[in-house]
Amino acid sequence: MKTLIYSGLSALVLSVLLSGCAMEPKADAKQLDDDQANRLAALGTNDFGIKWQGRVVGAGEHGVSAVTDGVTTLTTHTGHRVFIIHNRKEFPPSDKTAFSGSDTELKSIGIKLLRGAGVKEEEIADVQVLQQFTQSGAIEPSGKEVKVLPPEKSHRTLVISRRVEGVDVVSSRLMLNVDGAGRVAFMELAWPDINREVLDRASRYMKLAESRQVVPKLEGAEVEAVQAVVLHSPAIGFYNDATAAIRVIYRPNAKQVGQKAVRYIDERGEDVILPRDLDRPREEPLKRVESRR
Amino acid sequence: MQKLMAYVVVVLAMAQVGACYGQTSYSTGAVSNYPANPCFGPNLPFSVGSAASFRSWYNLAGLPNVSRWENNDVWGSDFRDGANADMEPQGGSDITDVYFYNGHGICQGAPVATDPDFIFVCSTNGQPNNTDIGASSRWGNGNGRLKFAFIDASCPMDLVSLGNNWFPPFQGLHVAVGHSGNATHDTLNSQTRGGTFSGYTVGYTVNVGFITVQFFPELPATWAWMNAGLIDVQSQVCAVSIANDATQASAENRRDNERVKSPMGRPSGNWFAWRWICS
Repeated sequence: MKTLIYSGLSALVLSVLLSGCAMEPKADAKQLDDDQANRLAALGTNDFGIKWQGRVVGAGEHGVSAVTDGVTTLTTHTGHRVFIIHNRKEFPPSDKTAFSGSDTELKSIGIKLLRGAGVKEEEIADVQVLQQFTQSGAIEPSGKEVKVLPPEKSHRTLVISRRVEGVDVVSSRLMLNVDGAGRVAFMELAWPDINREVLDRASRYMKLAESRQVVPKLEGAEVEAVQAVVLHSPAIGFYNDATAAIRVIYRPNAKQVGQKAVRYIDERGEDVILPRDLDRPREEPLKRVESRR
Repeated sequence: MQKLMAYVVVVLAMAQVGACYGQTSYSTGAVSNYPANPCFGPNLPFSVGSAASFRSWYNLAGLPNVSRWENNDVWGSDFRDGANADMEPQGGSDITDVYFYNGHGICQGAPVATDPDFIFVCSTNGQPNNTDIGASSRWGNGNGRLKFAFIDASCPMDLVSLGNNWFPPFQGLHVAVGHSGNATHDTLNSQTRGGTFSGYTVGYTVNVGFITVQFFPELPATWAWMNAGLIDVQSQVCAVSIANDATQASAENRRDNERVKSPMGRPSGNWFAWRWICS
């Protein structure tokens, strides 16, 4: 009997200990069956040129599915044009494996990927190749002088933005890093279809944005820019919300204050509900006590 | 038998406590309320929400939260070196492994190498509200434990003045990220940037049966910032990440490869390496 009680208590202690610190919640993830995994893998091959290295396995949770061969992972918001590709051998990249093709070639790779994903080319707005730089420096042993070496060019990242029927979809983007062979090393493609109701609303907001009639004032700032936009949930998340809004950017009156305030409003000047990314944990309100000095 | 079980329980408990102890802890500080008097304004509607989104990913990753202060409860002194300042036990920025700040900074019209970088809060406590990072912030010194300083403000990491403002704060700090810009090329207050950055720093992995699938990739802090730092910024703003170590090579390695969930050892040395990308 004693042994039984002791075993029970031990198990209890252990379970408390094991649940007491970080365990990633395994909510309701489900393994994809072979057909589902292979279909998603085939999409990765056909649309994005992924060369799988071996058997793929996959899982799904809250409308997000992913398939992996242990090296490359393709994640998608199922039924939406939202994809993340990560080749963990190629990204983070080393400078030795940098893509040596031209900016034009890099842009072509990105546009080809967009076509593969079924993006309408008329929705492509700006196509930018962003050059990364690295630099290093040291504080001299004397501690008085700072030595800084010249900056060096590093990797390039392709970023493509989106405009639909004249309205910027500011949440959409293709962000692409390729390996030396021009294959996807890392890609975030968030380009979901936007429903007609949202686009019609955005179209109405364009006229309101021009007139600036509904733009609310903000204490300590003046209006810098007003624009009709479409917003949707980010790729890094579990939701697929979308909304139209009038984006108001405010310039601080105090010239030295930085980070510009932004509001996303509707036709009445009220703040719109923004698209979600993931559920927030429940948090109790806190009050900080002034410490004695 | 009972003794044996007792030993097993104790050993497992110690191992588990060790695992908990070794986990990366984090804090957030977010300021949305900036009344014009006395804090110049304007309010930043998404700062508090951005920090909440940041915490959601870290909560999902199971990392322990140390503090999550908002508005008046984020003190200027939290970012300045000292026992009652960045080591203040309720919310100092140096009592945790990761600190994510979202709020105002201070931008110059055309910054030069001698211009300071600032964090600017709005509180009745711990004043002054502005912290000159290069002059007053020292992270990782003494009993300080900050490894990752994530400053999502406006111009807290101007490239032109990096040596003056960001070399001195590294007193054990591993990696810091922020933006370089100016008064006319600035970051926009964003609901999305903090969450996406957060998600990329810890990723999201599920285990189903015997398989493990990483839904969202866990990237080194620098690359997470290169991917997320340019969300909702004006043109010519740069996302910057800097790391410190004993040699140029080790500083570069730390800059490009150190991850929040598996931080490298404590850096010591006088070399700094930084990476940036501009919109």
